[in-house]
Amino acid sequence: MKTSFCRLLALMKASSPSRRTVAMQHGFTLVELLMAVALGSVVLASLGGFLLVSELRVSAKIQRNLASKDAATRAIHLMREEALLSSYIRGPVVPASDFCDDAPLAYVQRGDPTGKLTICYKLLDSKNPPSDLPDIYQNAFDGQCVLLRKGPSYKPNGDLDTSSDSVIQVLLVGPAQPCTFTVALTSTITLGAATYSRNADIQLKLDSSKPYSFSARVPSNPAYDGNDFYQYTCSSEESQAGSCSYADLAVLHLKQAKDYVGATSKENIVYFDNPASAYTLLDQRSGSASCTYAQCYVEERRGGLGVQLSFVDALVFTDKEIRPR
Amino acid sequence: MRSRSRQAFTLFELMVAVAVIGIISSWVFRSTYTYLQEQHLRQAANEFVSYLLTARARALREGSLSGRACELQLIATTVAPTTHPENVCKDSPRLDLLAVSGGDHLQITSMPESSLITFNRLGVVASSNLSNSNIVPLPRIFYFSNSATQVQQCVLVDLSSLRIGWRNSPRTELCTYDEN
Repeated sequence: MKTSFCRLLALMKASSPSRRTVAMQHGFTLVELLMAVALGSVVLASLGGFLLVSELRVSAKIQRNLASKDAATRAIHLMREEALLSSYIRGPVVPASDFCDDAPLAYVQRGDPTGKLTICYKLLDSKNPPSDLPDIYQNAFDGQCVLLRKGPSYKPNGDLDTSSDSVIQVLLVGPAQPCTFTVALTSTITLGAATYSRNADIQLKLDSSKPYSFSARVPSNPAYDGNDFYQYTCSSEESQAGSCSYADLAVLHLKQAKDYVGATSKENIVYFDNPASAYTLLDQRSGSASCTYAQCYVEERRGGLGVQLSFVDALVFTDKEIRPR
Repeated sequence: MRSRSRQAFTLFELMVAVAVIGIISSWVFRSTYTYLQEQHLRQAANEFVSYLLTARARALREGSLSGRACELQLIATTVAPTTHPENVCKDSPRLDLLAVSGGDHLQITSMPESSLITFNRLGVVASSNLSNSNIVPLPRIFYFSNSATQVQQCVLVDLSSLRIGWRNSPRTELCTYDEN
């Protein structure tokens, strides 16, 4: 028994670490621990910072994309709305003499051959900015895609302020260039130095994103075939007599179809280029100076245009709208 | 011998240390205060733009049929709808930019000077207003400033776009705008 106990004691003594071994198994010193914590913090902070910055950048990019799409949608909405106020769409004029002449898209307002009410859209050429670009826009764009609009400003009721001057305004600021703004006029007619139409297929491409494609159409009378414009030239007698007073008739006109019978399946609206006072409205059957839903004969007071309208719901002039009964 | 090697800091050393800590603290405090004031300005500009976006959406939604408009007026640091009968926004709540930004001395100026902004049924800013027919050309810039910082925030209101930017001081005329 005593022998067994002595053996166990000897075994325990043999298996226990020596003093020398214990001295070699000491832990980290405080300095080592602090350095490790500091290094670990630096590594974790760098990683965290990198992730945070990446996340912020992605978030900012998403926000910019959303803002850009929103701005493009609003610009397109306005371009389509403004087409509805216009008489026809004009392509570039060669040679160009002002801002709107070399714009790919210009809307000419009804009854406005003077061009004062022309609205046009063009991308800003940052290397060659227009001379009448307001100073306030200087430095506002850093290589960005900027779509400019030149035209009269708006009244609170949504009408164009025809008494105001045409000014350049920024319609859209998109991401960095390159961007494109292309316009294709369809069913065109060429008069003088420019091409005119009532329809335009427009494509706006910002950055490398998918292009926004849309169509702008001015209000058109039915069966428009692109050949219903004509140019009125005052006769020498009229000029001498000073009776060629319709200055707005002297440039470009919309020629109505000679006879137009409205379809029963839709609302029939016929647009005219001038104020109602420039026309005589007659019920041809009775010869009275009235215009009925069944029959309305519209004639320019100065001659030139005469159109027989039947079952037309609305006659839209530049100053007012008439709905025959 | 042992006690001499463990002597404490001298008064001079302590004073120097306290002075250094004081200088650094005051610089940090000053920078933090300025930064916070700049953030308050930024917050005020963001709130202003957000309010204008809401007004524009309302003009598009409610003005399209009636041909009416949404007209807002900036009085000192508060934006509120006007009481004009044709104003579709006249029941909108007013916005106190000083309160929502949490800043101290907010000041807002506009160029050209006009306190009215009117969004029409097309969602664009009209050059004249319901309450005042004088034409105020676009774009208009609203400068947000306070006495704690030279940096100003700029809000550019254009025909159909609203942009936020900044400029280092009123002496620097032009603002740098955020990228879209």
